[in-house]
Amino acid sequence: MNLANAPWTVEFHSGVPVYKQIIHQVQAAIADGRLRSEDQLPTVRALHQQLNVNPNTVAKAYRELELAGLITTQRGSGCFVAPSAEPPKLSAKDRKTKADQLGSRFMAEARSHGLSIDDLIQNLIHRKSHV
Amino acid sequence: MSDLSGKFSRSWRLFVSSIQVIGRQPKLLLFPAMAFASTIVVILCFLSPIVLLPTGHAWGQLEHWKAVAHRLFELTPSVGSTRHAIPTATADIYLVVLYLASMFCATFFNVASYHEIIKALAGDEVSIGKGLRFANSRLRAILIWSMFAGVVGLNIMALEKRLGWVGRWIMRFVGMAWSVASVFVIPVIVREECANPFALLRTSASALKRTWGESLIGYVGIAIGSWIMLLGSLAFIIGAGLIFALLHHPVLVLMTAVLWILALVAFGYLLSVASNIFKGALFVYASEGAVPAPYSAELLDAAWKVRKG
Repeated sequence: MNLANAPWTVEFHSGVPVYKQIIHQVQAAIADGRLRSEDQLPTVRALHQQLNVNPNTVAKAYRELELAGLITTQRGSGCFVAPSAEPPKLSAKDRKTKADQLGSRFMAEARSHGLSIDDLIQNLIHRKSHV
Repeated sequence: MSDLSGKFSRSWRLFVSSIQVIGRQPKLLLFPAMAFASTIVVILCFLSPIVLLPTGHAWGQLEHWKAVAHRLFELTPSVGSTRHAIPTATADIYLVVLYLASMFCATFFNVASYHEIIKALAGDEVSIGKGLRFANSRLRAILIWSMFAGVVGLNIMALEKRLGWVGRWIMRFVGMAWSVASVFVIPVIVREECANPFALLRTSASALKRTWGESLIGYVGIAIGSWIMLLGSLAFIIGAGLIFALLHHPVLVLMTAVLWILALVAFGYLLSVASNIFKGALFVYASEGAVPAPYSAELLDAAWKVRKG
């Protein structure tokens, strides 16, 4: 799958630096299977033009993703999802534990922003329909 | 001492980095000139009805200009031997409207300029036409922000005048806090389709706070580096003036002084453009989290005066 034409978005008023938003989008795409190992990411130039951000911002996001082992850079060809980047296969018990941990963190952060559980459920359903 | 030389060196490198951007995209130099020209046009448009309105005298006569002055100023009753000219209510209203109109012009060209500065920092080509068209697309935000900032500025000035020295100091701090908090408002107008001045101010202040912390008390910018240039040029002008004076060449002394003043004006202009480019780089750093070329994180981190302790 090639995400060069995918709907990448950034929100300047979100308070999250743009390079982190790009990292989060790649992480989310890998986690929900939209990006698989060896899929190509858009070039720095293409993403800079698409998002209307500085090319150094895209380059920084890619550098951090590479340091985290999620992508690899092949000189002259571009950036690709690393073979080891796909999420590990967890047992049913581990999945439940992980989901519990994430849910607690998710709820705590949402409450601190004044969001209700219904807001979150609505958002998750919306996301699911787009995967 | 080493701290001071470090500050000079950082400021100088910031200035040089900003000049490199101007070198790559010299069209950026045109925006302040357009802002200046438009402000002159606005002032002429406002002043000409008052100046050209018939007074019963020819424009070349002194009486005409006295009548014009009477429209704008009235003399206070004499206290002892002194009388002061104070603006009439009409002149006050006129000046406020003129101030707000010139604020609008300045904001319009600033938005156009920052749109192109952000592009230049991304390595893209600068276009005057695209910058102006973009500013045109943000007319509502520009109008609301310039009125808001204008009214805040007028109130700060009015309060400074009316209060005692303690009040003046307080208002000076309020003015300083205002200029720090609103430093990124113009780039925020460029980046976001938002016309709410409070939201713009909040976004500007939170970008600052997130990147540089809460103890900012002022903007260092690139002004310190320019002092090196000023001092160097001062040494040159004094030296040249002394030599020509000793050689009894008053014309050369005068010419050197005139050239020096022209060079200072040109340098001041360059400095203001460089300063805007630097602020654009600070905004990119604060909002995107990455350092635009040709700056470095060390330089951008040291851009603010921080409260000690």
